Amino acid sequence: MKTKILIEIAQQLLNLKKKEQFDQITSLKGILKELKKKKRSLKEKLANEEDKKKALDFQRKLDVISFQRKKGLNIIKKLKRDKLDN
Amino acid sequence: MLRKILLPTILVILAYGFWISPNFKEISAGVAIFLFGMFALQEGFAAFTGGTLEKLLRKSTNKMWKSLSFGFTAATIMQSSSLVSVITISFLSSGLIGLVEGMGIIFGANVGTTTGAWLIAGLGLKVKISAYAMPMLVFGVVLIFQKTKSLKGVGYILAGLGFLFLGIHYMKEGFETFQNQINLTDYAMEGLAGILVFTLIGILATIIMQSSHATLVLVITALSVEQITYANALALVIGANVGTTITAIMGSFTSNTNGKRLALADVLFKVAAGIVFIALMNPIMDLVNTIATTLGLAEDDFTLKLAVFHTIFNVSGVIIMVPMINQLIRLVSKLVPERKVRTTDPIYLNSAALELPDTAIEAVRKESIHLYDNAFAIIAHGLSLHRHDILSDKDLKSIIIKNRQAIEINIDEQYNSNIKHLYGEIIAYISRAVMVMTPEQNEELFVLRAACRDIVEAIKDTKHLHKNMSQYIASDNEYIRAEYNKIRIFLGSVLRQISEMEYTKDDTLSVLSLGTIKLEMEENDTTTNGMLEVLIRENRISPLMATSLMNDSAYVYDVTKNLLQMAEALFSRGDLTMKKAERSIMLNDDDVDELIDMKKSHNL
Repeated sequence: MKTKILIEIAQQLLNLKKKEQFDQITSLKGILKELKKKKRSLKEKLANEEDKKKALDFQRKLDVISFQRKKGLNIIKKLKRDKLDN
Repeated sequence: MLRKILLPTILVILAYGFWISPNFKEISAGVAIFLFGMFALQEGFAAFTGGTLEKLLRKSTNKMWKSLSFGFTAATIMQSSSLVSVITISFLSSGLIGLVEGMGIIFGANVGTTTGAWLIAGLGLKVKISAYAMPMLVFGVVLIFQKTKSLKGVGYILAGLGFLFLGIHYMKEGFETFQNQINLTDYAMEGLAGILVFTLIGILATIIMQSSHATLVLVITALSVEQITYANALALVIGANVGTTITAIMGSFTSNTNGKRLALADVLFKVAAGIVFIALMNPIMDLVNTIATTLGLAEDDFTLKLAVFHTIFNVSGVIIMVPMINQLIRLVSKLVPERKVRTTDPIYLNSAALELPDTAIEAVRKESIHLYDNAFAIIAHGLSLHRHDILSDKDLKSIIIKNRQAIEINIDEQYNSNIKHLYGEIIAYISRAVMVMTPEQNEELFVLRAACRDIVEAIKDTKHLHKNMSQYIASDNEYIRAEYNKIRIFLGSVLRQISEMEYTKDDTLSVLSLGTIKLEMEENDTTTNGMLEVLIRENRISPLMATSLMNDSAYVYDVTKNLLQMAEALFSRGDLTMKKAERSIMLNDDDVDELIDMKKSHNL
């Protein structure tokens, strides 16, 4: 492992706040990735759905996921900004 | 009574011993320093139990060999099978692992603890370990003063090891000087009587010191300066192995049935092995000699031979017991039968888990789910729905339309008998648990406490809803009946979705999907979507019915909101960071309003 990476890991361990931010960003990224997959699958289902009620349900789910993803991306941006400020 | 007399008696004996013999004082100080080192070591490892150890335990116990390896590694690193036993019992009581996995860990830990004898006999007596103790103590104490939890933990581990080494040094010194004055071998006993008496001494010493490790060190150091005979030392080791079960027994007092079964299995394991080894002492001593010769140990290296004996004792026990684990489980299940638990009694809350913050949080979460399960029945019946219908995949609409019969239920009575006591127990447990938590862990406990309050609020609102609902679902007015049936379908589907989250292991069923219900709830609100005005204007429902529907819509809103908040708290996945991340993107009230506005403007 390169010295630079080792120093970075050591700094992360010593700086708890930064580590917390780092962990939260990683967790959020994982969740957003999962939501993206769901979004894609819902879009496919919606395109093939003929029943209006079911289509409405899919649309509602899609709207919620899109909103949650947007919210998550904003939080990641904010966390990254805070990390740079610190 | 016995406890009241025991402590002063021990103190008086010790004081008398210190007065008549400075060497006895030195040996005792060695034991005390050694035990203090063990406490520090355990304190240090406890700093890392807030996640790492528990995560490892969860992942590495799905197969017997993994459980054994985990127990072995944990006890080797921590040099304490007691800490491993206590953690295992807490995990078992909190329902995180099963009895088989628990036994695997304890058996593995029994083998892991034998490494201590090798270290002490092999290194401790041959190398001047006190030279290592001093720098360890200095570095350890410096780190203990640091604010970071992990550095503090490392500090305690270093200081703990330092004290262990220092303790061994003092015991060794004490026995060496002792040797010149008194010869304890004069009190040696031969034959079966000797084995039995020294086994008993080993048991008592371990019970008093609460550590087989301490007894073992004492025996090895005494043996190294020939203050006890080899045969008597072996009996003391058997005693130490049996006596060490006291920690598991004490840990099981506050645990549930499975915790008690595990402690009993440990006792049976050690006592059975002890009896077999006492009965076959001579052939086993021959076996030890053969192994010692094969390993190239000197004929008179009794301390290392003792380590060989200790290893054979525990390894053979595991080899015999592992294939018989199912029979052992049947036996302990028969000896400790399942206590008939009332639905209102807590299942997962146990005092042992309070020592491990993450386990305590998990115990509270599981107990809160238990509370919800009790509440689920009340809420379902309050909506005149059967639980099996909600839990099935049948079409709720057709079930509800067919069934106009209200279910008779006294919600107050049900609350008092099935909820109140359990709710109180959870709150009391949380109050005790917060004392040992970090701010993040406390935050999680507050979330869980709020979830329990949400459950209770949902029941109370269902009670209000139930009164009109029982009347209107049987009404001849099809419009009001349809409106109340809509409520039943909606709340029934909320309960169904939450149950799917609770019972299915499907990872894709995240609590984030509950956001859809929040949106649906706002969009379909009868009081705001103009439906109510239409029904009144067209004289389809009476003004009295309209006011009932308005009031009850508010209750439906509250029940849904409370149930969703509860589900978001209880069923969010992963560790605390993951939960925090998931919760940060859940839809709150403002988000739902914003989303509705966005949808409206998009449609325009």
